[in-house]
Amino acid sequence: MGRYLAILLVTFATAVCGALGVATAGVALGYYDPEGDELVRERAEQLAGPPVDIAFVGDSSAGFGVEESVADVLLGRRTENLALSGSFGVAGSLEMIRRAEAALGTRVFIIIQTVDILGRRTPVLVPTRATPPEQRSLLQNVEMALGIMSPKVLGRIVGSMVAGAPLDLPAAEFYDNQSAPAPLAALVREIEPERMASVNPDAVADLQRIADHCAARDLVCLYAHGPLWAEGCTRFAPAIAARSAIVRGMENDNFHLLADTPFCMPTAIVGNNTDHVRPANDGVTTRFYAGLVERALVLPPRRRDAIRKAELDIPF
Amino acid sequence: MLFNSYLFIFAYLPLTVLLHQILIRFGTGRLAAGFLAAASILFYGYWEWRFVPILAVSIVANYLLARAIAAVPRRTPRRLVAGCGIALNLAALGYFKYANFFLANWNDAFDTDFVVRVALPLGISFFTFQQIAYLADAARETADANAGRDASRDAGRGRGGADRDFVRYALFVSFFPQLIAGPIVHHGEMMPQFARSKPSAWRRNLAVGSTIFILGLAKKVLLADNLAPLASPVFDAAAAGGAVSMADAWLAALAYSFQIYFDFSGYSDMAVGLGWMFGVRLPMNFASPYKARSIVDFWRRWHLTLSRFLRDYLYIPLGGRSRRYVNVFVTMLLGGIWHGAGWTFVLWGALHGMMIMVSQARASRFGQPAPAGIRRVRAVALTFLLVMIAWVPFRAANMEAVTTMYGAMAGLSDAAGAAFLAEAKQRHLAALAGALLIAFFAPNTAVFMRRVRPVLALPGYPASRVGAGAGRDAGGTAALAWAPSPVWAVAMALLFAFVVLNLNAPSEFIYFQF
Repeated sequence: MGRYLAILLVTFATAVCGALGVATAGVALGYYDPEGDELVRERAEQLAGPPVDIAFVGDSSAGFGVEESVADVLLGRRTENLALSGSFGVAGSLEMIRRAEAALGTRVFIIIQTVDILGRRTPVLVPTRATPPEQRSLLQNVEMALGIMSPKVLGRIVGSMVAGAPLDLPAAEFYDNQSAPAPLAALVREIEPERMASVNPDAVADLQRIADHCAARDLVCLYAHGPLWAEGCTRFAPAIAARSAIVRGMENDNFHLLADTPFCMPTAIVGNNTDHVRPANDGVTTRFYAGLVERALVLPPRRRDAIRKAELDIPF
Repeated sequence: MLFNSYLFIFAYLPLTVLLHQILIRFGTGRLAAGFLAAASILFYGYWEWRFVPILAVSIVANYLLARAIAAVPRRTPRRLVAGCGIALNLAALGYFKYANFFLANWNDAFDTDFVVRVALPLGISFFTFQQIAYLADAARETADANAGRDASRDAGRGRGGADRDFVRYALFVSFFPQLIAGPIVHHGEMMPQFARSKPSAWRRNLAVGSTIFILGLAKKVLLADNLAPLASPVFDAAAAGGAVSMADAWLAALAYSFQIYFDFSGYSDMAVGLGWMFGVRLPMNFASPYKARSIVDFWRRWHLTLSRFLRDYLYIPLGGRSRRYVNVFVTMLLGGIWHGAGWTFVLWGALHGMMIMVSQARASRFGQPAPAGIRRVRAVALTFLLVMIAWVPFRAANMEAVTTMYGAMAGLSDAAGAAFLAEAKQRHLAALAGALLIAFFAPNTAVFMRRVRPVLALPGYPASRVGAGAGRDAGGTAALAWAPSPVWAVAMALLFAFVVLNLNAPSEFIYFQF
């Protein structure tokens, strides 16, 4: 039994270290799409798709929180989740609104941003394949490799190395899975209190740009705070109210704040971050936000398969 | 803390095993038991520390009740004390688990607006049932029975007397491998093993334990977690009031049937493996349930320790075979409610109760010949089909979703095509195919590991008897058997590495919510 144990442990350690070595080499040599790149690619694929009636934009709280297939059913419209991540900031949402309107003819946007987004210094530099590998340290490469290691990713890296160039990858599924290797509950990242204590004028200005853009383009834009762990809702209630007031101050005929947000998640459905719902529970958050949207837009009753896009009745 | 998290696998577990071994080797058994109980409480509290007092109160109260039972020399008053203790346990379980459900229904029925928000403590159904069994057993046994001797004598029957040692009692209840979601163990099964920990057996225990743990982890991560994306969107859409096509509804029901099996059987395997690492063999909880040839057979293979509890502490006290149709229906109905506070669980229990009644009536009339050949295949397929249909209310979020799903499965849906199936990822469909093959054709973990007799067999459950030559009886394939050879060591290490690399998204076990 001792020999069995020794072989098991040595083989396991060798396999994991080997995998880490391959992943690190792949990252260092530029054979792997970092997360930001993968997400942007996924969104680009969606922007090349058929027309969309209602688009959800925002950060990862929206990315995890909205499942289009459920939203389609609830709203009776073709919806698409075009959320980026918090690293892209509010400016990322504005960019997606512009692109979705141009590429998909979308006229209704639901902007779901996590509650601390106005306190972040964003957008931050998101490493992409264009970022020269030599600009990243070995430690950064190892850290990146640790963050992305999975058999699927390793397969891609090895395939890319064999081909001598990054592969054309199939459709990404960025928000179908929890992307961060964090165990649940214990290691969920808390909202940083300093982000809730102050507001970044640049982020506020970006949000104002969205409000102005919606008015200028006669779009319907509804703003909502993204899902948040219930304890965070309680702890940061005054700061959340202050942010709501900021958004309300930007309201115009085309840009409105959806009341009663954020959706305060019970612990059981919190994912790898306090503003991420677990992918298996995204139906819960989708139902919540779709319900708010339905009320705000006064959509006709369910069974709306036959209702054409032209019938979309926007009261603003 | 989840069994399938990095923190548990690479920090908590190795540290706990190491310290336990050190205490076994250089300290005393009681010290090691105390450490393990404390580590188990830490494991529990790490998830949600606010539930720790509830667990602690439950342990202390039941310990004192058992002492009180043991102190009463006469049988009738002893049973009276035990009855009060059991009632207290049920009242606590009822409050934490069913208060919200009861009030919601009361408000609906009488148009009132009572609001009580009661959080459900993790694993309360399991540790409460375990202690109810303990009190009932204590009332039946000699009042001042020595725990160790008594437990040794009764280990085969799964009975135990009152335990005087609080530390060991606390460990019996809180032992972390089985604390959150079972198996539901008997005092008599556990205490002798805690007492017999041998430092010399650590290599064997660790080798066998880690192998079973890896198999369970693989079931959870590679199969169950990859089946959820096939089932959840369809059930979510149904719960949201959307239309679901016939093909999607059947696909979701099929995927969920395998998801829950591999989720729970994976958890049970991990629990058994972890038990081995501490020198403890847990009872078998799964014996290839989808190979069952009837619904009755299914319940002798699925969640065996719950079946045993319901049989010993509900079905038999109700009168057993004397009014068996009524008793079995009531037992299954309550078994359904035990799983969750909701009408969907009531319906699930009622469905199984009715199916067992029909199965028993049929067996009474026509006898129960062991089907062979094509008849056996037909029996297995029909049983699986019925079980799969019954899983629909178990998974559905509300009765509206149940109606939608059943309507769609019956071909009454307006939705055409297979929108969800069309969007299914290849790896999820591959997981479904793999799950199907493994569930129907592969040996279960106990049979695969039969050379070391990895689990305790349960009296009255033939499929739980595993060991050399018993593979076929347990529904397994005789040829495939684990041995501590280099080949299996490499295979298990590679499987472990593959699973660990897939652990990016640890997900909760379905049975944690019960």
